[in-house]
Amino acid sequence: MRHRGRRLLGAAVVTALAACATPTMNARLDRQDPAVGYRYANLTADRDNGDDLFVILAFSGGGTRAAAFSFGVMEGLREVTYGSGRRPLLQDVDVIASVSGGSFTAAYYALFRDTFFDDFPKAFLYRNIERGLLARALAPWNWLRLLRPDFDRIHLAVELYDETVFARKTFGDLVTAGRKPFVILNATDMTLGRRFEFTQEQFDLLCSDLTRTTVATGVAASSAFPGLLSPLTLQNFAAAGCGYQRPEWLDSGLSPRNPLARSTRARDLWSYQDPRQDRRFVHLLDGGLADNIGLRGPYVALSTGDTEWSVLARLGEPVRHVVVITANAKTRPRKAWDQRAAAPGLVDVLGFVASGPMDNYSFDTVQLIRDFFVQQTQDARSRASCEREIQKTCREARLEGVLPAVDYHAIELSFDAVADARLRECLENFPTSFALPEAQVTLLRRAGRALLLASRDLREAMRALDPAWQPAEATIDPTLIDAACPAATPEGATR
Amino acid sequence: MEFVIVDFPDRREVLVDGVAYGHNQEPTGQPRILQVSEGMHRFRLRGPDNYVPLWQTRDVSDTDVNAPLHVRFDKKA
Repeated sequence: MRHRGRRLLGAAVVTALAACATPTMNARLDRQDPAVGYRYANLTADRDNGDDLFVILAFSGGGTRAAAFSFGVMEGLREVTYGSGRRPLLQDVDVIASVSGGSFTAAYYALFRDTFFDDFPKAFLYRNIERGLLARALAPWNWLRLLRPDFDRIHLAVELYDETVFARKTFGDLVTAGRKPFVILNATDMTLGRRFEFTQEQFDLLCSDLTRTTVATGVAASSAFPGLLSPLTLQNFAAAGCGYQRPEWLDSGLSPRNPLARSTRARDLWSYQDPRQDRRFVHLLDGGLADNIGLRGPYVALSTGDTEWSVLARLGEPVRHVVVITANAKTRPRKAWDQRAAAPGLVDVLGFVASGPMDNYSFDTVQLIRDFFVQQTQDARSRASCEREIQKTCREARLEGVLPAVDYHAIELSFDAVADARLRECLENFPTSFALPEAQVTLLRRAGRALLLASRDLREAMRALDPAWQPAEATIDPTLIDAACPAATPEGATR
Repeated sequence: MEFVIVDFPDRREVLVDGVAYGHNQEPTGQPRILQVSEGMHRFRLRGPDNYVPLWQTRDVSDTDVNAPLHVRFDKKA
C-alpha cells in the first residue's frame, strides 16, 4: 500500500513537471531572409514624419526608477511640438534603445502606443513587481518547476511580465503593427561581455525567429540583474543551419586589417555562427552590464555602416538633423562606509562590483556620442573655413565634392542637472528596485519631464528645426518633493 | 571618420559593404562626399552593371574632410 502511494505521488510529480514544461524562449528559423522579421527597415514612420530628422531615445537601467524617469521624459516629449502644424517631436522618434528598467517603458510604448500614457503607470510603474516575483517564487506549484535544471527564476519573471504587463505580445506583433520607433532591447551576452540585442539582425546569427519570442522575454533578459534573477538562456540553432547569408559589412569587418574595435565586434558577432566555437546556448544577463545607458548600439549606427539601421549611411540622404536624447537614471547614493573606519563587508563589495563598472561605462558612452558629434561639426566647419581661405585668392575656387550639412544634438537628461540641491540629492538616493512608493514614482515622472523641457540642448535642437520654438513651463510641486523625499539614510547604514 | 568620393560619370546609388549610402553625386552633378568608418570596405554601384570593376575593396584610412579618398568606377566600353 505504501509503495503504491509513493508510485502515485511520483506519477503526480512527473505529470506536474510535464504540464509545466519550460517555456520556449526562442524558436528555430527555417530560412534566413534579410528582408523579413523585426528590423528597422520593416517599420514605417507616422505620416508626415520627415525623413530628414533622425531621433534616437536611449533609456538607461535602474529598475522602476529608470522606467518612471524615462516615462516622464516621454510625457515631456509629447508636449514638445514644432513647426506651423505644431508637430509632436514624439512622432519623429525613429529608434528607442533601452536597458533593464528602461526596457519596460520602451517595450510598452512599442506595443501599446495609443494607450501608453494612460495605461503604463498602472500596468507597471505603480505596481509592486518585486512582490509579484516573490509570490511566484513562493507558490508551491512553482517549487517543483524550480527544481528542474532548465527552469529558473528568470522564467517566472518572463511569465509574470507576459501575463501582467505585456499581454503575451510577441516581436511578431511589432512587425505586424509595422510602426516606428524601432525599439532595441539590450541584454548582455555572458560569454562575450557584450551587448546582445533583441532584433532579427542579431537573431539571424542564432538561426532563430524573433517574431515568435515574446517581448516580455526580451525585457526580462534586459533586466536580469545578476543575483536577483538567473540568466536567460537562448538556444543557438546555427549548427542546424538556416542558409545564413553573412552581410557584406560583417565580411568586411572580419578582415584583420581593420581597427581592433571593428574586427573584434565582427568576430564577436560571428562567434554565434562559427562552428569551432560550439556556442549551442547563449546566456544573457542584464543589459546594463555591457552598457547601462543603451547608447552603444546607437553609437555603432551613428559612426559606422556596420548595422542594418546605420545612420551614417543616411547622412545627407535623407538625414539632415540628428537628435539623441538620453534618459539616464543613474544615482549617486551616499555610502555609510564613508563614515566608518571598518572596510566595507562582502555584500557592499559585491554590490559595488556589480554596479560600479556599469556607471563608469555609461559615462564613457555618453561622452563617445558627444565627442563624435563635436568632431563631425568641427570637420564641417574646417571644410567651410578652408574654402573661405581659398576664395580669398581665387573667388571662384571650390574644394572638391559636397559634404552634406547635418546638425547634431546630444541631449543628456540625468539627475546631475537638477538645480535644486535637495531635490537632486533626493533623486540620487532613490534605490534600484522594482517597487517604489507612489510619491517617488510621481516625482521621477515630473523630474523627467521638467529636465527635458528645461534642457538647453533641447532648445538648441528645436530651434534648428523651428527658430521660433519656445519650451513649455515645467515646475515640480514642492509638496510632492516633501512627500517623496524622506530624511535620507546612507546606503548600507543598516549593516 | 573617413571621407570618400565615388567617381562615376553618372549619378548612381553607392553601396558600401552592401549598405545603401545615397548617391555618388548631388542632383547638381557635384561629387558627394560619403563618410565611412576607418577600415576595409567594399564599394559597388546599384543598378545596371555597366561599369568596371563590379566591386572593389579598399582600406580607407588617413583621409581628411578636405582630402577624401577617390574610388573610381568606369563605364564599360
